[in-house]
Amino acid sequence: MATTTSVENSGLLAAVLPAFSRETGITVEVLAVGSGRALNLLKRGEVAVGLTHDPAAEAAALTGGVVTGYRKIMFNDFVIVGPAGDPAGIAHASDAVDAFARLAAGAATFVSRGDASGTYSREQELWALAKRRPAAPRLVDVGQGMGGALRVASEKGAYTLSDRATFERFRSSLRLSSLYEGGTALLNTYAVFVRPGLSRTDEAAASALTRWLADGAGRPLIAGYAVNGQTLFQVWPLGTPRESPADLPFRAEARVH
Amino acid sequence: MFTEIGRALTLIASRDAEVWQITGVSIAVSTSAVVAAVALGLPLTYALARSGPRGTKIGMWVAHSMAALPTVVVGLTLYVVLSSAGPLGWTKLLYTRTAMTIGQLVLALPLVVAVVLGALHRLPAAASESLVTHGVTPARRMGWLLWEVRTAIASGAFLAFSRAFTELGSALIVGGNIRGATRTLTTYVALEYNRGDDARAIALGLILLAVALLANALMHAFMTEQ
Repeated sequence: MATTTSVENSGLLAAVLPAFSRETGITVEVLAVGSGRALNLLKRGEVAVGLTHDPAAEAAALTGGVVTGYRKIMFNDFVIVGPAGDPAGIAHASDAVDAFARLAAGAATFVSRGDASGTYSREQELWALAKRRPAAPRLVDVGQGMGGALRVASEKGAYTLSDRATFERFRSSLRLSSLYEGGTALLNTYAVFVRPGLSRTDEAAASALTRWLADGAGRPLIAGYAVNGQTLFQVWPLGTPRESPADLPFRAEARVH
Repeated sequence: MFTEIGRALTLIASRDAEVWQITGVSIAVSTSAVVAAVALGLPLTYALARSGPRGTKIGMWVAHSMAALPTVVVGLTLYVVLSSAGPLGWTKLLYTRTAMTIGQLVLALPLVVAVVLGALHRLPAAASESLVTHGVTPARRMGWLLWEVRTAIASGAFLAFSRAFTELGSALIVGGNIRGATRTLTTYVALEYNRGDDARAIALGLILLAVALLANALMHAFMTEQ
Protein backbone atom coordinates (compact mmCIF):
# COMPACT_ATOMS: atom_id res chain seq x y z
CA MET A 1 0.00 0.00 0.00
CA ALA A 2 1.33 3.44 -0.95
CA THR A 3 0.05 6.32 1.11
CA THR A 4 0.47 10.06 1.23
CA THR A 5 2.97 11.22 3.84
CA SER A 6 0.34 13.23 5.72
CA VAL A 7 -1.56 10.05 6.62
CA GLU A 8 1.60 8.19 7.58
CA ASN A 9 2.91 11.17 9.60
CA SER A 10 -0.34 11.35 11.53
CA GLY A 11 0.24 7.87 12.91
CA LEU A 12 -3.25 6.77 11.81
CA LEU A 13 -2.22 3.69 9.86
CA ALA A 14 0.08 2.41 12.59
CA ALA A 15 -2.88 2.72 14.96
CA VAL A 16 -5.59 1.05 12.87
CA LEU A 17 -3.87 -1.46 10.55
CA PRO A 18 -2.89 -3.98 13.26
CA ALA A 19 -6.61 -4.53 13.87
CA PHE A 20 -7.12 -5.26 10.16
CA SER A 21 -4.26 -7.78 10.19
CA ARG A 22 -5.65 -9.49 13.30
CA GLU A 23 -9.11 -9.81 11.74
CA THR A 24 -8.05 -10.98 8.30
CA GLY A 25 -4.55 -12.41 8.65
CA ILE A 26 -3.44 -10.06 5.88
CA THR A 27 -0.29 -8.04 6.60
CA VAL A 28 -0.03 -4.58 5.07
CA GLU A 29 3.27 -2.94 4.16
CA VAL A 30 2.99 0.84 4.01
CA LEU A 31 5.11 3.05 1.73
CA ALA A 32 4.82 6.71 2.71
CA VAL A 33 5.36 8.90 -0.35
CA GLY A 34 3.79 11.98 -1.95
CA SER A 35 0.48 11.53 -3.80
CA GLY A 36 2.33 11.83 -7.14
CA ARG A 37 4.73 9.04 -6.26
CA ALA A 38 1.94 6.91 -4.77
CA LEU A 39 0.02 6.99 -8.06
CA ASN A 40 3.24 6.27 -9.97
CA LEU A 41 3.96 3.22 -7.76
CA LEU A 42 0.44 1.97 -8.36
CA LYS A 43 0.82 2.44 -12.11
CA ARG A 44 4.08 0.48 -12.07
CA GLY A 45 2.45 -2.34 -10.14
CA GLU A 46 4.74 -1.91 -7.12
CA VAL A 47 1.76 -1.54 -4.79
CA ALA A 48 -1.80 -2.87 -4.83
CA VAL A 49 -3.58 -0.15 -2.87
CA GLY A 50 -3.22 3.63 -2.81
CA LEU A 51 -4.41 6.23 -0.28
CA THR A 52 -4.04 9.83 -1.47
CA HIS A 53 -5.56 13.32 -1.14
CA ASP A 54 -5.06 14.84 -4.57
CA PRO A 55 -8.42 14.95 -6.41
CA ALA A 56 -6.92 16.38 -9.62
CA ALA A 57 -4.22 13.69 -9.90
CA GLU A 58 -6.70 10.99 -8.85
CA ALA A 59 -9.13 12.09 -11.57
CA ALA A 60 -6.34 11.83 -14.17
CA ALA A 61 -5.42 8.34 -12.89
CA LEU A 62 -9.08 7.23 -13.03
CA THR A 63 -9.41 8.49 -16.60
CA GLY A 64 -6.18 6.74 -17.54
CA GLY A 65 -7.46 3.45 -16.14
CA VAL A 66 -4.58 3.29 -13.64
CA VAL A 67 -6.88 2.89 -10.64
CA THR A 68 -10.15 1.17 -9.85
CA GLY A 69 -12.45 0.70 -6.86
CA TYR A 70 -12.12 4.40 -6.01
CA ARG A 71 -13.75 5.48 -2.74
CA LYS A 72 -13.42 8.49 -0.45
CA ILE A 73 -12.91 7.27 3.09
CA MET A 74 -12.30 10.31 5.26
CA PHE A 75 -11.61 14.02 5.34
CA ASN A 76 -10.20 16.81 7.41
CA ASP A 77 -9.09 20.26 6.33
CA PHE A 78 -6.13 22.33 5.28
CA VAL A 79 -5.09 25.24 7.46
CA ILE A 80 -3.20 28.35 6.43
CA VAL A 81 -0.45 28.80 8.98
CA GLY A 82 2.01 31.63 9.54
CA PRO A 83 3.71 33.87 12.10
CA ALA A 84 1.47 34.70 15.06
CA GLY A 85 1.62 38.44 14.23
CA ASP A 86 -0.11 37.73 10.89
CA PRO A 87 1.46 40.63 8.90
CA ALA A 88 -0.68 39.84 5.83
CA GLY A 89 -3.87 40.02 7.89
CA ILE A 90 -5.31 36.77 6.59
CA ALA A 91 -7.17 36.09 9.84
CA HIS A 92 -9.68 38.74 8.67
CA ALA A 93 -10.04 37.26 5.18
CA SER A 94 -13.58 36.59 3.94
CA ASP A 95 -12.65 33.14 2.64
CA ALA A 96 -9.61 31.02 1.76
CA VAL A 97 -9.32 32.53 -1.71
CA ASP A 98 -9.32 36.04 -0.18
CA ALA A 99 -6.63 34.86 2.27
CA PHE A 100 -4.47 33.74 -0.66
CA ALA A 101 -5.11 37.03 -2.48
CA ARG A 102 -3.92 38.89 0.64
CA LEU A 103 -0.80 36.69 0.76
CA ALA A 104 -0.05 37.43 -2.89
CA ALA A 105 -0.64 41.17 -2.52
CA GLY A 106 1.29 41.86 0.69
CA ALA A 107 4.97 41.63 1.53
CA ALA A 108 4.63 38.23 3.18
CA THR A 109 6.73 35.20 2.26
CA PHE A 110 4.97 31.94 1.39
CA VAL A 111 6.58 28.51 1.52
CA SER A 112 5.38 26.25 -1.27
CA ARG A 113 5.70 22.45 -1.23
CA GLY A 114 6.47 22.28 -4.97
CA ASP A 115 6.37 18.49 -4.92
CA ALA A 116 3.34 16.96 -6.69
CA SER A 117 1.54 16.39 -3.39
CA GLY A 118 -2.15 16.83 -2.74
CA THR A 119 -1.35 19.89 -0.62
CA TYR A 120 0.66 21.45 -3.46
CA SER A 121 -2.21 20.81 -5.88
CA ARG A 122 -4.59 22.62 -3.53
CA GLU A 123 -2.17 25.53 -3.16
CA GLN A 124 -1.99 25.88 -6.97
CA GLU A 125 -5.80 25.85 -7.21
CA LEU A 126 -6.04 28.56 -4.56
CA TRP A 127 -3.52 30.82 -6.35
CA ALA A 128 -5.48 30.30 -9.55
CA LEU A 129 -8.75 31.26 -7.83
CA ALA A 130 -7.08 34.29 -6.21
CA LYS A 131 -5.97 35.27 -9.74
CA ARG A 132 -2.48 36.20 -8.56
CA ARG A 133 0.48 34.59 -6.91
CA PRO A 134 3.70 35.78 -5.32
CA ALA A 135 7.00 35.18 -7.13
CA ALA A 136 10.45 34.30 -5.77
CA PRO A 137 11.88 35.43 -3.39
CA ARG A 138 8.47 35.89 -1.70
CA LEU A 139 7.53 32.41 -2.88
CA VAL A 140 9.97 29.87 -1.42
CA ASP A 141 9.68 26.60 -3.34
CA VAL A 142 11.13 23.92 -1.04
CA GLY A 143 10.28 20.72 -2.92
CA GLN A 144 9.91 18.86 0.37
CA GLY A 145 7.31 17.04 2.41
CA MET A 146 4.93 18.85 4.74
CA GLY A 147 7.27 18.54 7.72
CA GLY A 148 10.17 20.12 5.82
CA ALA A 149 7.95 22.92 4.47
CA LEU A 150 6.63 23.70 7.98
CA ARG A 151 10.18 23.88 9.36
CA VAL A 152 11.31 26.28 6.63
CA ALA A 153 8.18 28.44 7.13
CA SER A 154 8.81 28.53 10.88
CA GLU A 155 12.45 29.57 10.43
CA LYS A 156 11.66 32.23 7.86
CA GLY A 157 8.60 33.62 9.62
CA ALA A 158 6.65 32.70 6.48
CA TYR A 159 3.16 31.39 5.69
CA THR A 160 2.33 27.98 4.29
CA LEU A 161 -0.62 25.69 3.58
CA SER A 162 -0.67 22.52 5.69
CA ASP A 163 -2.95 19.58 6.19
CA ARG A 164 -4.30 19.68 9.73
CA ALA A 165 -2.90 16.31 10.81
CA THR A 166 0.73 17.16 10.02
CA PHE A 167 0.44 20.67 11.49
CA GLU A 168 -0.96 19.30 14.77
CA ARG A 169 1.89 16.83 14.95
CA PHE A 170 4.65 19.41 14.38
CA ARG A 171 2.93 22.31 16.12
CA SER A 172 4.85 22.27 19.42
CA SER A 173 8.22 22.62 17.68
CA LEU A 174 7.12 25.40 15.31
CA ARG A 175 6.77 29.17 15.63
CA LEU A 176 3.61 29.09 13.56
CA SER A 177 -0.06 29.61 14.30
CA SER A 178 -3.11 28.49 12.39
CA LEU A 179 -4.35 31.81 11.00
CA TYR A 180 -7.13 30.86 8.62
CA GLU A 181 -9.28 27.74 8.57
CA GLY A 182 -12.69 26.63 7.41
CA GLY A 183 -14.72 26.65 4.19
CA THR A 184 -15.12 24.20 1.34
CA ALA A 185 -12.00 25.44 -0.44
CA LEU A 186 -9.87 24.07 2.38
CA LEU A 187 -11.53 20.64 2.60
CA ASN A 188 -8.98 17.84 2.42
CA THR A 189 -10.46 14.56 1.25
CA TYR A 190 -8.72 11.18 1.31
CA ALA A 191 -9.52 8.32 -1.05
CA VAL A 192 -8.47 4.68 -1.37
CA PHE A 193 -8.27 2.74 -4.61
CA VAL A 194 -6.85 -0.44 -6.07
CA ARG A 195 -4.60 -1.25 -8.99
CA PRO A 196 -6.52 -3.07 -11.74
CA GLY A 197 -5.30 -6.41 -13.08
CA LEU A 198 -3.93 -7.86 -9.85
CA SER A 199 -3.63 -11.60 -9.24
CA ARG A 200 -6.76 -13.10 -7.66
CA THR A 201 -5.24 -13.35 -4.16
CA ASP A 202 -3.82 -9.80 -4.28
CA GLU A 203 -7.14 -8.56 -5.62
CA ALA A 204 -9.00 -10.16 -2.72
CA ALA A 205 -6.57 -8.75 -0.14
CA ALA A 206 -6.64 -5.28 -1.69
CA SER A 207 -10.45 -5.11 -1.80
CA ALA A 208 -10.66 -6.47 1.73
CA LEU A 209 -8.47 -3.60 2.91
CA THR A 210 -10.31 -0.83 1.04
CA ARG A 211 -13.71 -2.21 2.14
CA TRP A 212 -12.50 -2.43 5.73
CA LEU A 213 -11.36 1.21 5.67
CA ALA A 214 -14.39 2.57 3.79
CA ASP A 215 -17.28 0.57 5.27
CA GLY A 216 -15.99 -1.92 7.75
CA ALA A 217 -14.47 -2.08 11.19
CA GLY A 218 -11.89 0.54 10.16
CA ARG A 219 -14.46 3.36 10.27
CA PRO A 220 -14.88 3.64 14.04
CA LEU A 221 -11.13 3.29 14.50
CA ILE A 222 -10.45 6.18 12.11
CA ALA A 223 -13.15 8.30 13.74
CA GLY A 224 -11.75 7.60 17.20
CA TYR A 225 -8.12 8.28 16.33
CA ALA A 226 -6.80 11.33 18.18
CA VAL A 227 -3.44 12.97 18.84
CA ASN A 228 -3.10 15.18 21.93
CA GLY A 229 -6.84 14.83 22.44
CA GLN A 230 -7.64 16.15 18.98
CA THR A 231 -9.43 14.04 16.36
CA LEU A 232 -7.48 14.24 13.10
CA PHE A 233 -9.79 12.65 10.53
CA GLN A 234 -13.55 12.44 10.10
CA VAL A 235 -14.96 9.42 8.31
CA TRP A 236 -16.88 9.94 5.09
CA PRO A 237 -20.58 10.30 5.96
CA LEU A 238 -22.59 7.31 4.75
CA GLY A 239 -25.04 8.19 2.01
CA THR A 240 -22.97 11.00 0.49
CA PRO A 241 -21.40 10.34 -2.93
CA ARG A 242 -17.81 9.16 -2.80
CA GLU A 243 -16.93 7.40 -6.04
CA SER A 244 -15.60 10.52 -7.77
CA PRO A 245 -12.52 12.61 -6.87
CA ALA A 246 -14.70 15.77 -6.89
CA ASP A 247 -17.13 14.42 -4.27
CA LEU A 248 -17.44 16.34 -1.02
CA PRO A 249 -18.62 15.00 2.33
CA PHE A 250 -21.84 17.07 2.31
CA ARG A 251 -24.42 17.80 -0.36
CA ALA A 252 -25.65 21.34 0.01
CA GLU A 253 -22.50 23.44 -0.10
CA ALA A 254 -21.10 24.99 -3.25
CA ARG A 255 -18.24 23.11 -4.83
CA VAL A 256 -14.88 24.62 -5.46
CA HIS A 257 -13.65 22.19 -8.07
CA MET B 1 12.95 1.45 -18.08
CA PHE B 2 14.89 1.96 -21.34
CA THR B 3 12.33 4.40 -22.68
CA GLU B 4 12.71 6.34 -19.45
CA ILE B 5 16.49 6.53 -19.86
CA GLY B 6 15.93 7.62 -23.45
CA ARG B 7 13.62 10.39 -22.28
CA ALA B 8 16.20 11.28 -19.65
CA LEU B 9 18.90 11.73 -22.26
CA THR B 10 16.60 13.91 -24.39
CA LEU B 11 15.99 16.07 -21.32
CA ILE B 12 19.72 16.53 -20.77
CA ALA B 13 20.27 17.36 -24.43
CA SER B 14 17.48 19.96 -24.30
CA ARG B 15 19.71 22.07 -22.03
CA ASP B 16 17.12 22.97 -19.48
CA ALA B 17 18.34 26.25 -17.93
CA GLU B 18 17.17 25.29 -14.44
CA VAL B 19 19.12 22.02 -14.49
CA TRP B 20 22.35 23.88 -15.31
CA GLN B 21 21.68 26.47 -12.61
CA ILE B 22 21.28 23.61 -10.11
CA THR B 23 24.41 21.85 -11.38
CA GLY B 24 26.24 25.16 -10.90
CA VAL B 25 25.04 25.42 -7.28
CA SER B 26 26.18 21.84 -6.60
CA ILE B 27 29.66 22.41 -8.04
CA ALA B 28 30.06 25.82 -6.34
CA VAL B 29 29.03 24.58 -2.88
CA SER B 30 31.15 21.42 -3.01
CA THR B 31 34.19 23.20 -4.45
CA SER B 32 34.02 25.89 -1.72
CA ALA B 33 33.77 23.15 0.91
CA VAL B 34 36.82 21.34 -0.47
CA VAL B 35 38.89 24.55 -0.79
CA ALA B 36 38.05 25.35 2.85
CA ALA B 37 38.84 21.77 3.90
CA VAL B 38 42.28 21.95 2.24
CA ALA B 39 43.00 25.42 3.65
CA LEU B 40 42.13 24.30 7.19
CA GLY B 41 43.32 20.73 6.78
CA LEU B 42 46.91 21.31 5.63
CA PRO B 43 48.14 23.35 8.64
CA LEU B 44 46.16 21.06 10.96
CA THR B 45 47.63 17.92 9.41
CA TYR B 46 51.12 19.37 9.46
CA ALA B 47 50.79 20.23 13.15
CA LEU B 48 49.58 16.69 13.88
CA ALA B 49 52.48 15.15 11.94
CA ARG B 50 54.97 17.39 13.76
CA SER B 51 53.59 16.42 17.16
CA GLY B 52 55.24 13.02 16.90
CA PRO B 53 54.03 9.43 16.50
CA ARG B 54 51.41 9.76 19.23
CA GLY B 55 49.82 12.85 17.67
CA THR B 56 49.87 11.18 14.26
CA LYS B 57 48.19 8.09 15.65
CA ILE B 58 45.45 9.99 17.46
CA GLY B 59 44.98 12.28 14.45
CA MET B 60 44.59 9.27 12.16
CA TRP B 61 42.11 7.63 14.49
CA VAL B 62 39.97 10.79 14.76
CA ALA B 63 40.13 11.48 11.01
CA HIS B 64 39.17 7.92 10.11
CA SER B 65 36.29 7.93 12.60
CA MET B 66 35.00 11.24 11.30
CA ALA B 67 35.29 10.06 7.70
CA ALA B 68 32.53 7.61 8.58
CA LEU B 69 30.16 10.31 9.89
CA PRO B 70 26.71 9.75 8.38
CA THR B 71 25.68 12.76 6.30
CA VAL B 72 22.27 12.99 7.98
CA VAL B 73 23.92 13.16 11.41
CA VAL B 74 26.07 16.08 10.23
CA GLY B 75 22.96 17.72 8.77
CA LEU B 76 20.87 17.21 11.89
CA THR B 77 23.58 18.50 14.22
CA LEU B 78 24.10 21.58 12.08
CA TYR B 79 20.31 22.08 11.90
CA VAL B 80 20.00 22.08 15.68
CA VAL B 81 22.90 24.54 16.01
CA LEU B 82 21.74 26.90 13.25
CA SER B 83 17.95 26.84 13.76
CA SER B 84 16.49 29.97 15.34
CA ALA B 85 16.20 28.23 18.73
CA GLY B 86 19.82 27.01 18.50
CA PRO B 87 23.03 28.65 19.78
CA LEU B 88 23.94 30.08 16.36
CA GLY B 89 20.39 30.92 15.29
CA TRP B 90 21.22 34.63 15.23
CA THR B 91 23.54 34.06 12.23
CA LYS B 92 20.45 33.34 10.06
CA LEU B 93 22.55 30.82 8.13
CA LEU B 94 20.02 27.97 8.05
CA TYR B 95 18.69 27.29 4.52
CA THR B 96 21.59 29.09 2.82
CA ARG B 97 24.43 27.86 0.59
CA THR B 98 26.84 28.83 3.37
CA ALA B 99 25.16 26.33 5.70
CA MET B 100 25.45 23.64 3.02
CA THR B 101 29.13 24.51 2.52
CA ILE B 102 29.76 24.19 6.27
CA GLY B 103 28.05 20.78 6.33
CA GLN B 104 30.14 19.54 3.42
CA LEU B 105 33.28 21.01 5.00
CA VAL B 106 32.66 18.80 8.03
CA LEU B 107 32.33 15.81 5.69
CA ALA B 108 35.37 16.76 3.55
CA LEU B 109 37.92 17.74 6.22
CA PRO B 110 38.51 14.25 7.70
CA LEU B 111 39.26 12.81 4.25
CA VAL B 112 41.86 15.49 3.51
CA VAL B 113 43.47 15.02 6.94
CA ALA B 114 43.49 11.21 6.74
CA VAL B 115 45.10 11.03 3.30
CA VAL B 116 47.66 13.82 3.81
CA LEU B 117 48.60 12.72 7.33
CA GLY B 118 49.28 9.20 6.06
CA ALA B 119 51.56 10.57 3.32
CA LEU B 120 53.45 12.88 5.71
CA HIS B 121 53.91 9.94 8.07
CA ARG B 122 55.45 7.87 5.27
CA LEU B 123 58.00 10.57 4.34
CA PRO B 124 61.48 9.53 5.47
CA ALA B 125 62.31 11.30 8.74
CA ALA B 126 65.66 12.31 7.24
CA ALA B 127 63.93 14.71 4.83
CA SER B 128 62.54 16.83 7.65
CA GLU B 129 65.71 16.66 9.75
CA SER B 130 67.97 17.77 6.92
CA LEU B 131 65.78 20.86 6.48
CA VAL B 132 66.20 21.64 10.18
CA THR B 133 69.99 21.34 10.01
CA HIS B 134 70.08 23.61 6.98
CA GLY B 135 68.40 26.35 9.04
CA VAL B 136 65.22 26.60 6.93
CA THR B 137 62.44 28.66 8.59
CA PRO B 138 59.47 26.61 9.99
CA ALA B 139 57.06 28.15 7.47
CA ARG B 140 59.26 27.22 4.52
CA ARG B 141 59.84 23.77 5.99
CA MET B 142 56.07 23.23 6.07
CA GLY B 143 55.88 24.38 2.46
CA TRP B 144 58.65 21.98 1.40
CA LEU B 145 57.17 18.97 3.13
CA LEU B 146 53.65 19.63 1.86
CA TRP B 147 55.06 20.00 -1.65
CA GLU B 148 56.58 16.55 -1.24
CA VAL B 149 53.11 15.07 -0.59
CA ARG B 150 51.28 17.07 -3.29
CA THR B 151 49.86 13.98 -4.97
CA ALA B 152 48.34 12.92 -1.64
CA ILE B 153 46.86 16.42 -1.19
CA ALA B 154 45.29 16.20 -4.65
CA SER B 155 44.03 12.71 -3.95
CA GLY B 156 42.54 13.79 -0.60
CA ALA B 157 40.94 16.86 -2.16
CA PHE B 158 39.28 14.86 -4.94
CA LEU B 159 38.07 12.19 -2.53
CA ALA B 160 36.63 14.98 -0.40
CA PHE B 161 34.97 16.50 -3.46
CA SER B 162 33.34 13.17 -4.31
CA ARG B 163 31.95 12.84 -0.80
CA ALA B 164 30.72 16.44 -0.69
CA PHE B 165 29.28 16.52 -4.21
CA THR B 166 27.30 13.29 -3.90
CA GLU B 167 25.93 13.72 -0.36
CA LEU B 168 22.21 14.27 0.14
CA GLY B 169 21.51 14.15 3.88
CA SER B 170 23.20 17.34 5.01
CA ALA B 171 22.31 19.38 1.88
CA LEU B 172 18.62 18.55 2.27
CA ILE B 173 18.41 19.28 6.00
CA VAL B 174 20.45 22.51 6.20
CA GLY B 175 19.88 23.68 2.62
CA GLY B 176 16.16 23.00 2.41
CA ASN B 177 16.10 22.27 -1.36
CA ILE B 178 14.88 25.83 -2.07
CA ARG B 179 14.38 26.35 -5.79
CA GLY B 180 16.79 28.85 -7.29
CA ALA B 181 18.77 29.07 -4.05
CA THR B 182 19.79 25.88 -2.27
CA ARG B 183 18.54 23.19 -4.63
CA THR B 184 21.39 20.85 -5.62
CA LEU B 185 21.57 17.86 -7.95
CA THR B 186 21.14 15.38 -5.09
CA THR B 187 18.20 17.15 -3.44
CA TYR B 188 16.63 17.60 -6.90
CA VAL B 189 16.93 13.87 -7.65
CA ALA B 190 15.17 13.11 -4.35
CA LEU B 191 12.42 15.62 -5.21
CA GLU B 192 11.82 14.26 -8.71
CA TYR B 193 11.67 10.75 -7.26
CA ASN B 194 8.95 11.90 -4.84
CA ARG B 195 7.12 13.70 -7.60
CA GLY B 196 7.00 10.42 -9.49
CA ASP B 197 8.96 11.77 -12.48
CA ASP B 198 11.42 8.92 -13.04
CA ALA B 199 12.83 10.19 -16.33
CA ARG B 200 13.82 13.50 -14.83
CA ALA B 201 15.26 11.86 -11.71
CA ILE B 202 17.39 9.57 -13.90
CA ALA B 203 18.53 12.49 -16.10
CA LEU B 204 19.67 14.43 -13.04
CA GLY B 205 21.34 11.32 -11.63
CA LEU B 206 23.29 10.94 -14.88
CA ILE B 207 24.53 14.54 -14.67
CA LEU B 208 25.57 13.93 -11.06
CA LEU B 209 27.43 10.80 -12.12
CA ALA B 210 29.08 12.56 -15.09
CA VAL B 211 30.50 15.37 -12.92
CA ALA B 212 31.73 12.89 -10.29
CA LEU B 213 33.46 10.78 -12.98
CA LEU B 214 34.95 13.89 -14.57
CA ALA B 215 36.46 14.91 -11.21
CA ASN B 216 37.87 11.42 -10.86
CA ALA B 217 39.38 11.54 -14.36
CA LEU B 218 41.01 14.90 -13.53
CA MET B 219 42.53 13.42 -10.39
CA HIS B 220 43.97 10.47 -12.29
CA ALA B 221 45.39 12.77 -14.97
CA PHE B 222 47.07 14.83 -12.22
CA MET B 223 48.48 11.75 -10.46
CA THR B 224 49.90 10.34 -13.70
CA GLU B 225 51.44 13.74 -14.48
CA GLN B 226 53.26 13.66 -11.13
